[in-house]
Amino acid sequence: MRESQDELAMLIATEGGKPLVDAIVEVERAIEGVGLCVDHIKVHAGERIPLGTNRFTAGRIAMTSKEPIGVVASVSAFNHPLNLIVHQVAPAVAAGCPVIVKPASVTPLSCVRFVELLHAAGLPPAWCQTLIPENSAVSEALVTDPRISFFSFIGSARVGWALKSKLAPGVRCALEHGGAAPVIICDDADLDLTVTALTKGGYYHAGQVCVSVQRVFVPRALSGAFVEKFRSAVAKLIVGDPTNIETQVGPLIRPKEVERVHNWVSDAIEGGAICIQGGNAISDRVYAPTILLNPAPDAVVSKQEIFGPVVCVYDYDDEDAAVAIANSLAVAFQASVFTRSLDSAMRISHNLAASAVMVNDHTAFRDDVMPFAGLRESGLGVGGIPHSIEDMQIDKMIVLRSGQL
Amino acid sequence: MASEPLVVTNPFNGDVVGELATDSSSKLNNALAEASDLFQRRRGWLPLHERIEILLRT
Repeated sequence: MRESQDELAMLIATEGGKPLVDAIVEVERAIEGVGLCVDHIKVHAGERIPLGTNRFTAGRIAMTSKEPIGVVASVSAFNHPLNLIVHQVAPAVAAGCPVIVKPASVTPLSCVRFVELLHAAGLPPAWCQTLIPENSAVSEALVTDPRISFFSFIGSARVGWALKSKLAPGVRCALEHGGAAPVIICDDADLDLTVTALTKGGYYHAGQVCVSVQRVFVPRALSGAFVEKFRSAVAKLIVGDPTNIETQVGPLIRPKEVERVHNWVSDAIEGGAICIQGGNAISDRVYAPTILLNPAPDAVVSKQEIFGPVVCVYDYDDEDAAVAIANSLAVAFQASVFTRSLDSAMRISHNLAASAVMVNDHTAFRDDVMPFAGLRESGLGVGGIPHSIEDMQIDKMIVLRSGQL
Repeated sequence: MASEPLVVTNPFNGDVVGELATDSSSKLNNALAEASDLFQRRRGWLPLHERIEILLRT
């Protein structure tokens, strides 16, 4: 992978539209992810189970050992064409499972390249096969087949839950869907740091990330100052060709997504939101980085995952009420709080219904060793390299007994 | 009958980036049979050290 680093980054930029500067980071993370697999299986071999604590279990030594769970079927998403594949394939290889991977139909090339690299490294081809289904029936046939033992899915909630309901009996799964990540800004927050973090976390890959910053709650007294700083930072984002190393925000994955995002933004403005920045398509493929102020609570942008370069800012008077709104959706994933106060950081981290809370960082922060989990409709199970390896293995008990003890 | 290839385009400008042959249900069936056979043959499982070596070389 190291020798193919530049090629892989350019592939991510051209097939996925991710700005090259971020694609380069994705490749580095993918390489590190493969390394994390090695680190994990070198250390986690099972555990000694204490027997002999009563006369019925005397004379025995017991331990667990790790066995592969069976055939893994991985269905992946477009937004990290290489690193998600690493997350859904390398743990299977590490665990000793045969794996069949179906990349997103819009970004299959990075996956094909990674699987080639695995084979070139000595993995017999049948242990990891790429499926490019000719239609969705073939893809569903993979997931619903009783010969698989584990289904790993990253993508939309609608598809994920529907496929889960069709799994054969006994097939386990991990689902990773989207969210509408909330951020609570406190009145003592470092505004410069907050704005820098939110400008990255709200517009990284044009917001097409499941933990992208979407709903920012700011104290009313701070709102004017925050919005002005945020607007000025977002206005400076360089939008355009993802293969240009200067570009910070690229296209959406399909032209119809540009249309959808624009419809949602227009509806929000019609419903009373103030458009602070953007609010328009730059071309049929690129949407301008957009800030909306105070969209109505029932606006689509306040309730559903936008998956585009749009951040909503809401003024609040009461912290508890803001946290309650942050927690009110059917989706829940990562969240953030910005404050200089330890008390506020600990109180709000506790009160937010999220699987991860970043203090003074954006909601899309992730390292691949971290547990990563959508709650409620946002997913099932826990991702992250170590957790995925554990999911793809069983703990087999071995109990040794001797008549001479 | 061979099915249509999958054409991959650049979402920024629509340029063709690549093209892949697509797999039918019989291809899927072969893949599943192969994978499932590998798993059933427990003596043929990849030992830990080999998995480590492969991942390190990747």
